[in-house]
Amino acid sequence: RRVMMMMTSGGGKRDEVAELKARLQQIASRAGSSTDALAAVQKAVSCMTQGLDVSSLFPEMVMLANTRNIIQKKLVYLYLCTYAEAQPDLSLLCVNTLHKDCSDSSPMVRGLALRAMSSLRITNLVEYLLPLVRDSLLDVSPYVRKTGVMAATKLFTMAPGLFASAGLTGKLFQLLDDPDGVVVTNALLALQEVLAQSGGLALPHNVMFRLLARLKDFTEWGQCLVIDLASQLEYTQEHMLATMNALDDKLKHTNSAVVLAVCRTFLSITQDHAELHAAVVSRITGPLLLLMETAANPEVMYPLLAHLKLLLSQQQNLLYDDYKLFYVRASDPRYIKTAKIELLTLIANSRSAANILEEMMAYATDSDALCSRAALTAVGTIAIKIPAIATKALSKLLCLLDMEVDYVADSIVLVLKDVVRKYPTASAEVLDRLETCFHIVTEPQAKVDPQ
Amino acid sequence: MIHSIFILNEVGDVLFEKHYRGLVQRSVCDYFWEQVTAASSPEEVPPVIVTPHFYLFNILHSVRSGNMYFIALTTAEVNPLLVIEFLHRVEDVFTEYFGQGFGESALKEEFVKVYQLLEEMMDNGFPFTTEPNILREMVRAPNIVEKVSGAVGGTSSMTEQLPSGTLSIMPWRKEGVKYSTNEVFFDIIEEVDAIMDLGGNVVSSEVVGTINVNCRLSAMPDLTLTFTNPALLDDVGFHPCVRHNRWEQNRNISFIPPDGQFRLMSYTVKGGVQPPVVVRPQIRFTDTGGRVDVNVSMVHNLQQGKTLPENVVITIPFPKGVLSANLSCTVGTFALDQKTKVCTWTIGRMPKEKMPNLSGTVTMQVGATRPESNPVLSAQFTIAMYTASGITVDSLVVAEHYKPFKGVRSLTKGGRYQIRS
Repeated sequence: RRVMMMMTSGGGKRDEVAELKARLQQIASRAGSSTDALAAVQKAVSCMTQGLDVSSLFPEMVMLANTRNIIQKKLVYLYLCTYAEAQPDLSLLCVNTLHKDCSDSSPMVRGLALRAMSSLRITNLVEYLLPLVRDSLLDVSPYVRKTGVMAATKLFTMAPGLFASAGLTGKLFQLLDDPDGVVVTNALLALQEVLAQSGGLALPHNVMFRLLARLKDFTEWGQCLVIDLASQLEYTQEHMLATMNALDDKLKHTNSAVVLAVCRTFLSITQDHAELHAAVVSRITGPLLLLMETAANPEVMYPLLAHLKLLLSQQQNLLYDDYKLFYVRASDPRYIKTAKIELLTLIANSRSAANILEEMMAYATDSDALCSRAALTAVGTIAIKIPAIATKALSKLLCLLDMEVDYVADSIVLVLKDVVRKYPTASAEVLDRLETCFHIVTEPQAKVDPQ
Repeated sequence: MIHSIFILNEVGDVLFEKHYRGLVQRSVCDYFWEQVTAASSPEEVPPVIVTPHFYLFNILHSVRSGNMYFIALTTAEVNPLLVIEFLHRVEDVFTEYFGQGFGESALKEEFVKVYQLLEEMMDNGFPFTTEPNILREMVRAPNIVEKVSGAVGGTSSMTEQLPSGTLSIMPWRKEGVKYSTNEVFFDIIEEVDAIMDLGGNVVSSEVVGTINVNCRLSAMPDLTLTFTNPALLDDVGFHPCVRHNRWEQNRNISFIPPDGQFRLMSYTVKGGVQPPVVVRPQIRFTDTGGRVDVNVSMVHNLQQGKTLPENVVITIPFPKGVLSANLSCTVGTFALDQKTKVCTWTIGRMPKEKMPNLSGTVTMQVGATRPESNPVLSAQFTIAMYTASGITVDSLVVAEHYKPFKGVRSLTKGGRYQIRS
């Protein structure tokens, strides 16, 4: 749709681009004033942002990469990275400037050039890129080193053979001891990608422990990575405790991704040790619930609920007593309501079933048909799961039929079908009632099923 | 990991796109837009959308001048919370740079900064530099002086040197901060979430609290905060600057704060929380109409105390079949919205002696069926200098050569506060 629109109004815009090209040519040829150049480059990128095709400006933009103004350089490189793949031959023109910038005195310029060059994704460039990447891994500035590691990954994607023969994997392993936390994180990421096809990254225990000991040096994103890696190792009981002690205070982190990563790792490394596993389960419950309550927005709550569902399917006795936290609020968006209802079904046990049942009946009359159905299905599931509550559940469902609301009745009939299958003794009573409400049931499936 | 980031406006135009692992066509956003048109409101769009070839994560940036969607595209399996936390971090950084409630025009005007930020915050699909302190040194925040001098002299908005913060192990605070007046402010903000049933019994209640700090202190101050009753706090989450072992040993919060505004900690209090504002509704429907009687009161210690709930608003969503309402209230004003049938009763400040009451009748539309359920009321309020949990600050020690001004304020708000009738 949007592409079509651009084509039809193309006339005016194409003129604009042609005008810009002429302007850029003028500036490049007379090595004009820097403000002119910057303004023109900004205009070009702004057009690019709006979705205009400015690929015809490529030769002029390449020339303007040669400047002392970092902003202009940055914008030109951004432009080049967008269009280079379509113009591989012309892209070689910028190699000189990029090469020069990789030895600039400013670490920001070096990093910028390296990042741009490796993002161009042109296989012809890899021979030029390789020595630059190799040198960057030993640069004095951590900013350049960490950019270099990412550049190495991109190099690997373009030319894995070259990467291997240059021994870069070994260099990356060495960088795991770099004093800068982000360099280490990036090296781990790089190794994961590089080794993905050959069995994945298997960290020796001593390296893992060194990483855990300096966890606070890493950003929260790096911590997530290290914590996830920790879950992939085999541990002796002693090592297990040491690892968990090292990670314990991360359960209080404000970033929900970190807390969840720790919970997952704890559960996974103790899965064969029943006693430790039980202790872990009670340890992580508090922080998980805190995450639920302080979730600043439903977008964070949603994956959290999904994760909790997954955890519950593997670990039945989690969160038994904290079910009230998952009660649905009228203000929750639908995707949260249905997620919470599903979760409540999983948490319900003989102690909480009665209360949860009451809650579900309150949700069953929600004006949103999908939520109402979810709640009623939940009632059925709980009735089947917990026989003690079945009679009560059944009578409540039948009561609700009296209300004579069509979408509610539809759902109830479908649910009753499953309940009756489990408890055939109730079928007589149910069939009786169904006859009386046949007239309000609208959904075809519901009509057929009682038969 | 994250392949691309797109920023869309509320009609689906792509405002920005940044690709970290090779170009991706804008048309992928069509999958997202399908979900938006199918949803009943922007808030109802699911945050995770699965398509045959990739995953789309999105967060909503809701602002009066026009919503925006921040979208991340991933092709492989990834930790979803990491993606969503990162998108929120991008939104937070943009808020710092372009102001609270920034809209489409602000981003379009500053597109150069937007691109610079997107470039520094993520490399090759993994979060790179997201600490606002460090970003501020690499990409200067826009201000009037710079805009003018930029127009005149063409100065660049990027620094030539590397920010000092990247090398220290304390990325949240840089060296050499100086203020002429040293002051630090603590804001304890509590939200009471509660569900009450029609007997006035509390079905569930808890308090979620956050402590926000505005720190304007010079050099490297080391702060220690102690509560009178730390045992009240059930679960806590801290900013990375807080030293955990001090909390474990003697329940002290010991930290070297970031400069400026930040969230120090969040906590919950579960047991024994009395909802401060008590609403007792009695709503009965018949076939032709209904009777309404709602009473509002305060919990005992507020009645005796010095501070009163303010900005009290009770919202009663009547069923769609209601035609009109004939109500009167003893305190405040009320209004019934004819389209949504929601009655909003604005009490304002709770009177000390009187108990506000709203009562009367409603009439149903001709032919409407009797509503099958009673409405769920919700209440909003703010109570200054009051914490629903009862937590109080005992002392705040600042270890530095100067004597700073210290301020502590508290505020309790009604959060998800619902009363069933």
